[in-house]
Amino acid sequence: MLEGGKISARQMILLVFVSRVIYWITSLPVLLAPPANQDVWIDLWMAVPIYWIVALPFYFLAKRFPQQSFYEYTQAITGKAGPWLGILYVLFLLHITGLTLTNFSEFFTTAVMPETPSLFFVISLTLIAAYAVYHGIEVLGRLSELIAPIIMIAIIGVVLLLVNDMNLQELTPFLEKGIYPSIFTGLSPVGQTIEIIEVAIILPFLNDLRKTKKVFIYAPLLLVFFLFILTFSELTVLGDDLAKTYTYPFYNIVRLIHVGDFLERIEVIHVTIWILGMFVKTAFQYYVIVLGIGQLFHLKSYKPLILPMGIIIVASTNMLGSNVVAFREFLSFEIYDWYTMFFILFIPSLLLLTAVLRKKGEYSK
Amino acid sequence: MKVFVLLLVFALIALLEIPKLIRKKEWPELITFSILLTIGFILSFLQVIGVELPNPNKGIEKLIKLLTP
Repeated sequence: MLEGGKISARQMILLVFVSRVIYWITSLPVLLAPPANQDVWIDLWMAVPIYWIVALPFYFLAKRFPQQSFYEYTQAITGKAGPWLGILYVLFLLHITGLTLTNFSEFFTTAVMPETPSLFFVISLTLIAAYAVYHGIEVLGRLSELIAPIIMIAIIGVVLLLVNDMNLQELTPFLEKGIYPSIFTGLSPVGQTIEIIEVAIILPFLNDLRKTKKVFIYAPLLLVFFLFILTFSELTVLGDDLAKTYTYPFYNIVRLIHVGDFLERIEVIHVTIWILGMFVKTAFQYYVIVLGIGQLFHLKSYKPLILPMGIIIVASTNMLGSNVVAFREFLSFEIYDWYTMFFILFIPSLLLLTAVLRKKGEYSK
Repeated sequence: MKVFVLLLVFALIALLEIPKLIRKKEWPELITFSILLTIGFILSFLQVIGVELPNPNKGIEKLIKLLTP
């Protein structure tokens, strides 16, 4: 076995929560998804059923192969094409990690520390993440349990401090374009949640396999609840037009906090939770990549691969360039959501179909 | 100077891991480790000497614009 550790269902949900919400506290692309008007805060609840639909292939595959990770059952289902599909997923996750690190350094170089070279942030975060990966999945689970409450308290506290600046008039007219466009708004956050693949990869490490369903049901609810808090505060404080123009809307509203004459410059809290959360997110993705290579080549241990993989991650992050505008364009729903949907919905559905047709794995209720 | 630092980092990583792997006779691990280290070395060496590597974002963007309405 590559990994002897086990984590609980709650730790897994919190791992997904930290990895996803930390990205949304800086940039919030859901505001730009069609119809992109002031109704986003209602429409995004449509994301919950869409999350459940996207999770279905992974759920049934996990039912058929309870002891195997995503990489392992890909090889069991597709036979000779399995390793190539696995390598495709490793490359995809590598690209996503590169995007994560670019996002991390870009936030610092544009908003907080403009003079520091971005390579410094990338290398330091990768090194810390490598240390966390070296200790395995149990440490990652406990880290998420430690950091997730800090992030939750920080977000809710900041939003409570903003109540004075909220203007509910910004939310009118109510349901301007009817209920139909909300499906498209719901698709946008789901398309970004590539954490669902990472969950499918670490699912065999769950200490109680009967709780698989719980992970897939409760994680989206938690995610959408916090997405709702973030969009609601941004829309009411800034208004719909202004929120769309900012690159970092939540950072901008946190800077507005001004209680009395003594409580100001709260953005330090924002930067702190951004570093903490990005650390967990990067470590999680890094872990999944190294584990994937270990499982594809049937190695005894993934630990020797951590340092060379770190170099590849840093180098490929550098390849993605530093053009903020091109980067935003790539991350918009027109490009990025199609790209991820191919990996999180299309290939897993085909895999499930193949598994059913070729009668691979045992299906037990 | 930059190339020298890069070589130093790679030598350090190789010295950290390879003796351990040889002592435990883990040959598949050693092969995978060497392949990954070589890929990492090629990528970072090209960047250090100033070669512009292709940006994967652009290729993916073109492909998706071609395939989607």
